[in-house]
Amino acid sequence: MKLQRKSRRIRSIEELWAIEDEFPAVCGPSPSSYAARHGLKLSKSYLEHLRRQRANGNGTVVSRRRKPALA
Amino acid sequence: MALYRRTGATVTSLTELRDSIWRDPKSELAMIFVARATWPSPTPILGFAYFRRSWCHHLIVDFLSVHPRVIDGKPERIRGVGTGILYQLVGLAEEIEIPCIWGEATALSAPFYERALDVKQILDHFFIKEDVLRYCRSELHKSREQMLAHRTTK
Repeated sequence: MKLQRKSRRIRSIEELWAIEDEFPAVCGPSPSSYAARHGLKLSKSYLEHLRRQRANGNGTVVSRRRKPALA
Repeated sequence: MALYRRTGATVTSLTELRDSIWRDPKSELAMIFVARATWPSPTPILGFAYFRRSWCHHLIVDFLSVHPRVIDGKPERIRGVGTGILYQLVGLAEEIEIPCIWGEATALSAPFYERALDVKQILDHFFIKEDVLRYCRSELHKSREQMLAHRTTK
């Protein structure tokens, strides 16, 4: 698929910095597909993360971290 | 990466990359770009990209990551690392005349690539080539000029 450009305007460096707000922690394939492709094992903690994600039903994970007590 | 290292298909510098391609034009080579802070910083490594040069002289982006502290903006606010690394790949492509950079996009990374490349829609893959590559190259050159201008006026 050929990518279609939005505009022909060269952006300022400040505009380029602002793109960082969209940056996910990692750009890459999902760990499962990467592991399958390269014959690698998934870590126990990642499998546990997936299990909790599925158990939650909506694709999100509820953090197990303890919340600080309210003052 | 370990498999590439074991088979000697990794390079650690631009000179080594050029030499390897010269020795075997169809070699597939893996490498890592590391973005480092040029100032004394509690986060000396700001991010990295793991990518490959394919047998037909394309670049394949496997991973592009920014340090969690940079994403958090703590203890210091550093902007533009992800875009900077992506544009440095464009710079490398220009340096060794690579006509196409491609990679996989996920639901999380597609919006970033759309904004960084200034394109309408990215689905599960992207190809940076032709006018998109030329555009990124122009933005890279302009931002380098701005950085140089900024540095000399300080």
